[in-house]
Amino acid sequence: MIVRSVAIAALCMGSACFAATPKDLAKTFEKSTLTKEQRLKELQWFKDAAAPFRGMTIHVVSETIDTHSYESKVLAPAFTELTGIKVVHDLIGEGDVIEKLQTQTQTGRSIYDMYVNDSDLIGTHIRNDYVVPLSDFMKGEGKDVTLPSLDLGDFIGLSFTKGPDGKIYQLPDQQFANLYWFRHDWFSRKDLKEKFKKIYGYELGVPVNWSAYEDIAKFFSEDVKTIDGKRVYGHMDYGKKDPSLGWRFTDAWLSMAGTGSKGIPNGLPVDEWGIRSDNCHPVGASVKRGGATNAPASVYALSKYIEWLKKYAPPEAIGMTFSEAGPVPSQGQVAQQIFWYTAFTAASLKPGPVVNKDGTPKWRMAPSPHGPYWSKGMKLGYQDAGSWTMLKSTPLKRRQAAWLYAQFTVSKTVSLQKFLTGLTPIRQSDLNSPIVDELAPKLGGLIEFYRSPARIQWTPTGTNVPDYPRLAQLWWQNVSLAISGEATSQQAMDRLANDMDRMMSRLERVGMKSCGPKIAKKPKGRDYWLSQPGSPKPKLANEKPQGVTISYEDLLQSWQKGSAH
Amino acid sequence: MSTKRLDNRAWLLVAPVFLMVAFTTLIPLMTVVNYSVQDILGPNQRFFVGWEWYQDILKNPDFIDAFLRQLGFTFTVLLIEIPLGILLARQIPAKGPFAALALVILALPLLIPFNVVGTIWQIMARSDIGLLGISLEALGISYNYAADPLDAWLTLILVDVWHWLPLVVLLAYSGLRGIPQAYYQAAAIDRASNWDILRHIQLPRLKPVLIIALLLRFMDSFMIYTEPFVITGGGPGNATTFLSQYLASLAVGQFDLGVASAFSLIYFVIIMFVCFLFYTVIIGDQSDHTRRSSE
Repeated sequence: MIVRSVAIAALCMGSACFAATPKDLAKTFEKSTLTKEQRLKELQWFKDAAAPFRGMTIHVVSETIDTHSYESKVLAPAFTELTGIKVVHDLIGEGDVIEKLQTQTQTGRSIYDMYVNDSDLIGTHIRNDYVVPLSDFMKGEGKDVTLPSLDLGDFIGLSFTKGPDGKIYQLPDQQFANLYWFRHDWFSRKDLKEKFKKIYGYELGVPVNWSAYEDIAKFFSEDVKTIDGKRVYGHMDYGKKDPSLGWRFTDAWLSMAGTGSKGIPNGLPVDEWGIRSDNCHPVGASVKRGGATNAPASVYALSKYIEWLKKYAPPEAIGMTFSEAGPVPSQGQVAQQIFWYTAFTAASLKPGPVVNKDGTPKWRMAPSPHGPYWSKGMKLGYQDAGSWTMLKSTPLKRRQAAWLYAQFTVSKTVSLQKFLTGLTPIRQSDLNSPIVDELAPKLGGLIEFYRSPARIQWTPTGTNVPDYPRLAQLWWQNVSLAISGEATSQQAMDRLANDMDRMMSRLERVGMKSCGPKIAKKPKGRDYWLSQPGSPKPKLANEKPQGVTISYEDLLQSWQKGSAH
Repeated sequence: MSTKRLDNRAWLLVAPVFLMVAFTTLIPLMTVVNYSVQDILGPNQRFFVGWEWYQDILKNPDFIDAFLRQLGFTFTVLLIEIPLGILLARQIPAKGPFAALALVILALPLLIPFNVVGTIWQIMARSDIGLLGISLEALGISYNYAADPLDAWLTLILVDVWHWLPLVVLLAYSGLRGIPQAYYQAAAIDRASNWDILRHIQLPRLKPVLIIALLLRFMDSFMIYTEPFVITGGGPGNATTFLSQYLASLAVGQFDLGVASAFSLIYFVIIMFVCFLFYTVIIGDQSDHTRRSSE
């Protein structure tokens, strides 16, 4: 397989790239949910549909994760070889992808022919006139270049990429969730279990609530301190003043604490950013306007993040960014992490301190514990859905050619092989594959999570957020003030909520295509909103209820039944 | 009455210069001025706001804090680098192999790109893997530049001094080499002390070179961006957020073109004012020098 991929890549280094027949590629992608005949048919369709575009060079871009590296290094050359359309698939940081997309939308000049852009921007896309609704495209200008066997119903994250109008604006290309990660081997040790029970009065296990998470963090950082002579920590996080600090919060941290209303995929009327919307129009983020960004649940979420980072994480964690902190649990010093991206699964399975000699992991992933403000019916975590996005400012012919490549990367012919490489599933058919059955025990719970109906509680940012790039910037800048102590958690969230209200007022002033903000000029006030049912919720008298844990094995069973806990 | 004919084709000779200046300076500047009076949130989302952004920025405590921080940082590094640069330059021998070796070693930090300097020190200063961080911890000194504002400041000052002190040393060294031996011989006859030589011979003769060094270091440190961006990200909190970082977060991070344009014009005016002060000092110094020479 590797030799084949390298050969494909080598063939396509120059401008001329020929000679792979559908038959050749059908053999290459033999790990597929389609039969060989079905793969041949699908590949032949790509070859025929691409005929008018042969000789073109298209440019696409995505963030740098294993899945996209596979696309760039293997799928793009294979597509070129099959169709004669040369694909330049650039890999850059996620922040840079947003910046390029923003530059194209601002200037109206085409930079890339398509973008793999997180579906977190869905609220931004639906309110502006620069994104091509794929539902319209597939029926109209792109009808002849839309794969008959695309099977949209098979995509597990399609609801994340739809607007309130029901149209599909983006097509999921990879998905990963934010789950709880822990050292199953340490949690299973009899001596540690006994010691934990003696100190805290309940079983050491997967924490169901934040109280238990906090107790376990304290247990490993302060009570256990060393295992096999090495310093260990009960928590890992990151806190450098950097845009990635914003993701730490906007990737649903507040929803885990219990900010927001009930509702899947996102709380309505108040989402996990704390933005209230009224009939798709955002009306405010501050509590005085009915939002919850500076509500007690949000302040509690920020306070706990800071407290745990400073007390229980390795001292250097506070100076790390997302990408620096990501590999740390694999280094063997960390007992648990409440906010762990499953995109790191493949990296965490490489030989090292957290992998057994037989290749199975010493760690497991589990549903994230929830804070005291959370209740059933609310989302419980974040799921990233990097999705193909097409802009109107790209010339039609280039869009059509790029759309062919985008569909190729998610087609059933290649999607299982891509999933096995990057572990970021997008199709239910891939998850149900017998090949995946064999793999499941080696992936620490990833397959169990994705096969569980409980996964619907992990969702991306929703449609309440009218301008993701601009509003996301406000988060890390304000959160960093609370980390340094320049502001209290309440002051930082008050400032953030006001900044968000101000930005949304400006969006209202300049006007948006649809569902634009309508920020109340005379807010009803904090007391009014806190006395209303639902979000924003008043402060709880006891924010630290009794810790609750569950054994990992019981948890797997509850997952199968469809509940998180 | 003059019989000379005016030939307007002469304007063609200056046209290339005019066009170049227009494209590189005038048009961009006017574009920024145009943006600064609008709220621009999208290609078709513009709203005229007049002076709103200017008023907002000048009243914004974050801007004022960043400005004061910038001044504080600049004056701190100047207070360290200029005297230390002169001191080190005086220690380097005038000739011989050691002089050449010292100059080459001193020049090395100047050859390293800004972002590489930032990355080197970011790793060096980490308390878990960095040489500096581990050494300080071993000495029992609590140090975490990511959490403690004072540590962050000390780290950035150390980085700036490490990176730019050699420039001051090289300039001062070249100035010292330009002082004729006759001055030192006269000082020896008068039995002048080392301090007297520095005060009455070297510093007055170094003045033009030191003004250039001061100007260059002021400008560079007043525009510092890359090192704090890489090492501290402007944190902890806003502790190391200087004007350039604040501006970049508005212009590049938020793509908030109206506010960022007003900000950059205010920043531009501040730098223009400082340049004017330096220019006045240099011209004043040259006039004094000319007057004294003629007397």
